Amino acid sequence: MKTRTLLKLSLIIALIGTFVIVILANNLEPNISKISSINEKMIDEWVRIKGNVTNQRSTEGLTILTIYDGTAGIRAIMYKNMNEDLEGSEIIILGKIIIYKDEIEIQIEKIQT
Amino acid sequence: MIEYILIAIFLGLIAGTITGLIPGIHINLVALILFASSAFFLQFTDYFTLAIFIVSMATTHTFLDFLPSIFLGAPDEDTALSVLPGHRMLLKGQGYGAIKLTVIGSFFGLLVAVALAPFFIVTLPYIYPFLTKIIAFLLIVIVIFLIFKEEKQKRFLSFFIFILTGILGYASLNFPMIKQPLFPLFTGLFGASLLTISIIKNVKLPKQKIKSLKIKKKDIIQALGLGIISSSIVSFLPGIGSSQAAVISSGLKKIQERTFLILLGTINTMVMLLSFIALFSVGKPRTGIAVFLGRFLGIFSEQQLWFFLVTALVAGSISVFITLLFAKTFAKGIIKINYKKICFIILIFLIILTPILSGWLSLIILITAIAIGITTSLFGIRKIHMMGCLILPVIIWHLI
Repeated sequence: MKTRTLLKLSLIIALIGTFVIVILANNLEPNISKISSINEKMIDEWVRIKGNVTNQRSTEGLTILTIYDGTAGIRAIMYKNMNEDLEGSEIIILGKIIIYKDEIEIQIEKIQT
Repeated sequence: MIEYILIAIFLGLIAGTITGLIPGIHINLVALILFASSAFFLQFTDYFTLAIFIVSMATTHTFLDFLPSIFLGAPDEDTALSVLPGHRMLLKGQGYGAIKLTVIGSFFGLLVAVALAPFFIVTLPYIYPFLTKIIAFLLIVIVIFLIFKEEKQKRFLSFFIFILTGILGYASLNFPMIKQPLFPLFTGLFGASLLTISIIKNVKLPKQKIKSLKIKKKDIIQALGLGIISSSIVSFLPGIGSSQAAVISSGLKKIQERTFLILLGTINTMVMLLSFIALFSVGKPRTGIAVFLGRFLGIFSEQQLWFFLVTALVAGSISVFITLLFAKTFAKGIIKINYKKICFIILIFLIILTPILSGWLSLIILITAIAIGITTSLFGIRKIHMMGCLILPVIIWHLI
């Protein structure tokens, strides 16, 4: 294969591929999981859960939510202060499983109310 | 007690050798399995001995993981930048010499990290908040500097590749359906793209020389100096590691290929050790392994930290011999087989491994990353610009 043809081909794949990944990353999300199914083997994995916020508190630059979905409860954290009061409302969150002080938590990336 | 510690160091050496040699098997995975099954192991031993195993394995890994990177073109995120200079030396029959340079770097990096440990323990709590504030700006300045180091007509292309890989990296790291996105990203950009070019160009390997490579003291000192500065900056900050340290070093001073390989070895081992010190000193885990150490022990004492550093010294010293032994075997074995065939087999292996480790959708990342890697090679610009895949997300993360 000629170098010029290879360059054209690889450049086209690079541009289209990057575009496709950006679109997919913004639109594809995992199915909703039960909180009881989350365990420490899932560290760094993405999960989506649906449940009621039973507690909400904020510290400097951090919001901590406690969420129950009928199977179990879990703490979810977000690295910003939230003005909205979510306590008592049902939400869907997307985030990564982390461990903080021996407790499994979710680091929130997206909240849907 | 001491016999358990010695057994833990020995088993760590074996585990680190395996994780270092096999592409895609990361030490974090072994630490995770150990953590998940710790209840079983705690019947025979304690958390501290398990932590010693982890330290021994992690140190050994930082010596061995250059082997697949340089001989097979199959790097991980810490050794990605060694692929090209290592491959160039391999094509000159100096694959063994390339590994020797990284081993020298790793060993001196180990010694320096242990020697400077008291200094870091004392100063870290003071410099940590300052580093957090300046890291994004430091990275921006270095990226601009690296782009301007290219010839005038290639600067736009370098900027283009930095931005393109940056977008790819940012999207991949925030892609909820992908596990371990760094694997397809780095395998594609730095390893599989090189293998593909080798197959297309029908590259043939010359006989590999095992004789001693002449290494100037000046090269070692220069690599160590740059390694200390850049490793110290990155080791204590979230989200950045060996690769960013190499980028920072490249921005600080123009160095030769051989010095660069020594530098990469220094950084790889120093970053690992400094992450143990950071965990003790500021309570923040900065590598996956430090996260597990923290989980095993919670807050640990200075005496325990010194135990870890001595363990690293012992494991690292033995790893010098293990790495050189494997490098010799690789160098002798690799020319007996058709290199095009080896490249093809490894490429297929990496393509099969990608969906297993990261899910089916990660194949799109792999193919795109291979295409960008080939484009960068054909543009004739430095591969370091592809580090945009990690640098741009870090800049965004620190600025927003």
